[in-house]
Amino acid sequence: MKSGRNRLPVWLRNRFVWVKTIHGSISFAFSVLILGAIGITSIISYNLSEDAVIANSEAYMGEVVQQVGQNIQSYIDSMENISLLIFTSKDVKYYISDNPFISREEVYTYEKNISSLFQSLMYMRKDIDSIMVFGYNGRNVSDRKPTTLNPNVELEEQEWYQEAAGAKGKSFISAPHVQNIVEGDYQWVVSLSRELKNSNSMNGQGIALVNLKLNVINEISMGVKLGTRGYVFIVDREGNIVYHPQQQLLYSKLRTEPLSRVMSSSESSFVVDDESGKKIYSVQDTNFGWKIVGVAYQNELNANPEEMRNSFLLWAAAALAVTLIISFFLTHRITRPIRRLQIVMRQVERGNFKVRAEVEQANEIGQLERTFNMMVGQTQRLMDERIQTEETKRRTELRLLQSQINPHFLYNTLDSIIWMSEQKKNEEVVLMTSALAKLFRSSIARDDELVSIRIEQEHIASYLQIQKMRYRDMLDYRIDIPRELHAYKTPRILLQPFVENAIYHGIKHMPEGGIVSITAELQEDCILFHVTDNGQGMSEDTIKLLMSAGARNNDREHIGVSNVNERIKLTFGSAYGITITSEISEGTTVTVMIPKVR
Amino acid sequence: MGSKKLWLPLLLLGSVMLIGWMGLWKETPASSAGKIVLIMKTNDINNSYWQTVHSGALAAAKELKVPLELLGPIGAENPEDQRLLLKRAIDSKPAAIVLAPIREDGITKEIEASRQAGIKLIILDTPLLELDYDSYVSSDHIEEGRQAANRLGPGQVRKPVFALITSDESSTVSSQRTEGVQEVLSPGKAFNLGTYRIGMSEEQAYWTVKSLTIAYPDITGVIALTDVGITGAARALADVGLTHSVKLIGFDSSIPEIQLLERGQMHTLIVQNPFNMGFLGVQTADSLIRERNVSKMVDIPSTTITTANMYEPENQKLLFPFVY
Repeated sequence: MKSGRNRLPVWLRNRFVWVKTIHGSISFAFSVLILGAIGITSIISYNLSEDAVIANSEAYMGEVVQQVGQNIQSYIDSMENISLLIFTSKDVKYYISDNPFISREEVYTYEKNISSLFQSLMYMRKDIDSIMVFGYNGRNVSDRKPTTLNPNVELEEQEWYQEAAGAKGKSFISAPHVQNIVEGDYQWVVSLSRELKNSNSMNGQGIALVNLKLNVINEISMGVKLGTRGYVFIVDREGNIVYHPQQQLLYSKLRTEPLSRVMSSSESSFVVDDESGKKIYSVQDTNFGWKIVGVAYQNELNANPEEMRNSFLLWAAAALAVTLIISFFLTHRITRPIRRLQIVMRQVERGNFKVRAEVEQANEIGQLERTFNMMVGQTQRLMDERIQTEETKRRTELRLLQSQINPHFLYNTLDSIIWMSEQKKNEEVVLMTSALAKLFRSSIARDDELVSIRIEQEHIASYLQIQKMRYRDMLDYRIDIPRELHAYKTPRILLQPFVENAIYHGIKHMPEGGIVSITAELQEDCILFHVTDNGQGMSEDTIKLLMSAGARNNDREHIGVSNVNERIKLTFGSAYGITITSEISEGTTVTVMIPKVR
Repeated sequence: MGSKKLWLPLLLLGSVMLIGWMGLWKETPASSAGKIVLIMKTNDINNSYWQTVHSGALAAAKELKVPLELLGPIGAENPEDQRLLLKRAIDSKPAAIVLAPIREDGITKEIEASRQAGIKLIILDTPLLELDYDSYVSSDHIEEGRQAANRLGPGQVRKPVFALITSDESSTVSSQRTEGVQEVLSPGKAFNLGTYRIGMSEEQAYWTVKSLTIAYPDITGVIALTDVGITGAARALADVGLTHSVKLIGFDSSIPEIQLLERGQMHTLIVQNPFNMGFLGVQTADSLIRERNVSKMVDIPSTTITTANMYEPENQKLLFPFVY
């Protein structure tokens, strides 16, 4: 897994870095889920609507084609009615009967009557091309007077004649054809023919022919609106094309229609998918044997497929955008406490143990936050305790240090006393011994750390007195602490380490000796002590080394400058402490700043 | 930080939508192409041949959903009128012009202008011999001549003896048909009594054929390239009683010729298919506009019609154009 991830190119890995966050991965999961869900539902519902549209259009086509069928049917019916009218006409019957008693004049009269009957029928029906009657007795009459039959056409060979003669009184409807029975007349018609019978014997006596102009069917078929490219065609019982707007293309095989499917299919509509697109075929039967077939291109029936698709896409996009935004905010809400906790943790990481996570919710994250807070609290307490323990330990240590008198010093002093006793300098022995006693008394005085400045002054005076007796002319000292400061408090043995340093490091090596002066002054809320010597001084680096914590040499013989500094800071706060200014071969001044405490 | 995270899902969504759209897009057909102008030899509504071309062209325009403008000289086939129509058509900048040229000479400038304008040029009916075009949609007139000539039974023991009746030698169609006839009935296979120009006079045809039958009693066939030639010849042959022994062969149909066929006074008619010509003319133009491969010659086979097959359904459509 890990190695697989590493194999990703760098840019891709960077691009997906956000997925590694909880927010990122939840967002990503949400997005993928929503995208998938909306995508699938959109596609399904688009297809469903498309199906619905197709179903609707098929139904619509069915109605249209049925309408065409009914229209053609009504024309056929009217032809049928005309033929029945002829069938029942006494004049016609008499005219075509083989009654030998009719004279030539009478025949002419009958012809005239029948012809005018036909003419009046034709006058009413503009869609009829011609009406004719052919008697088996050789007589014929039509709406035209006189009628010259085409001498080159054999009547008995005509399909409409043969079919009607064989149909025993039933009507026959022909496919559209050119009617050439009348000389010089070639009209595209649909013929309805019927055998006429003698009312007595029921023997056939002639054929009635009604020709319907093909224009009528053409107009009906062309008038149908099935999209812009849709059309209607008609097939007869045998599956021959009766009418097709592009019949010549069919004859030339430049175009084909799925006739076998039209003839065999039991369903009223089916879909054919060829190179010109998906076409819906709607087949309608008529009671005279023809099948009316409507053809429409599917993409045209769906009034505006692009619009439908665009609106689908638009809605899908809108839904996606809304849900994505909502999911983003939801994720944000869920992950916000985690991120807040993360920020708090980072602060703790940097050492701030005072911060606490805000517990807002009572859920798992809330619990986590509470536990975290508890943990941080405990850690802080432990840390505080440790600091305190450390401080106490240090204080004790320092106290121990400061309460001790440097054994060298004591030894040297006692040596001096012995030396003075041998010299019988009693007075001086007394002086030194009493100074030593004072020194000791002030160092073991009491337990409380702070003493009055007066006592500190006594202590430092005793110390200096002893040192003065030891170094004689090498050392001079001056103590100038104003009286009004005597009442203020100061840590014990505050100044001795500096004086000691001034003597040992500043003055001792000077052949002509030096002066140590101790002054104090009040500055606002602080008391400043200055320990100044005119010794050999020291460099900035030495000062730095002296002040640094590393100089805290616990040799137990010297109380380091830094120790004092630390002590002051521990007692009074970091605002106080010591500063050293020094110049080589000019001298050093140590300034100790403590607060004004009574 | 938040917005950055939002962009990637949105980008993802955008691309998915694009893919989806592309998937759905492929079903829609290409939008309708540019306009096609069809210029016929005549737009006379009584000329059933050209009106049938008209019908075929309209059917194709409907089928292919292309805008189509149908033009033609009103009345007679007037070359100058046609030239003006062609000029106007070129000015209207159509995508394609389908032209049935009456005469090739005289439209050279217009044809060149249309070529320069990048207009696809489809020639109908009558070929262009000199000028350049994209495709020629027509019956093969030489083949028609061969079809006619084959009816006379060349190469048999008794060689056909025939004459050609023409009216206008300068017609490209006529000369191509003549070429086809002469190719099949070449000397050695048949006796050619010559080509007789009778102009537009039926009377002239009558007398020519009548004298031919007297001069050459063993004549077996007459091929007439015009309808007046046919009617004159038929009358002459009927008069001399040779109707059945001399085969009379003609081209293109007219009512008098149909009646002659019915009566058996003429033997064979070679008829073209004007509906298909109109249809294929427009279809070829559309294919050219859509940059599809189109052959230089789109052949529309002519049909040989005799008395026996003239009332077969497919032949009825050819002989009696049903114009709508």
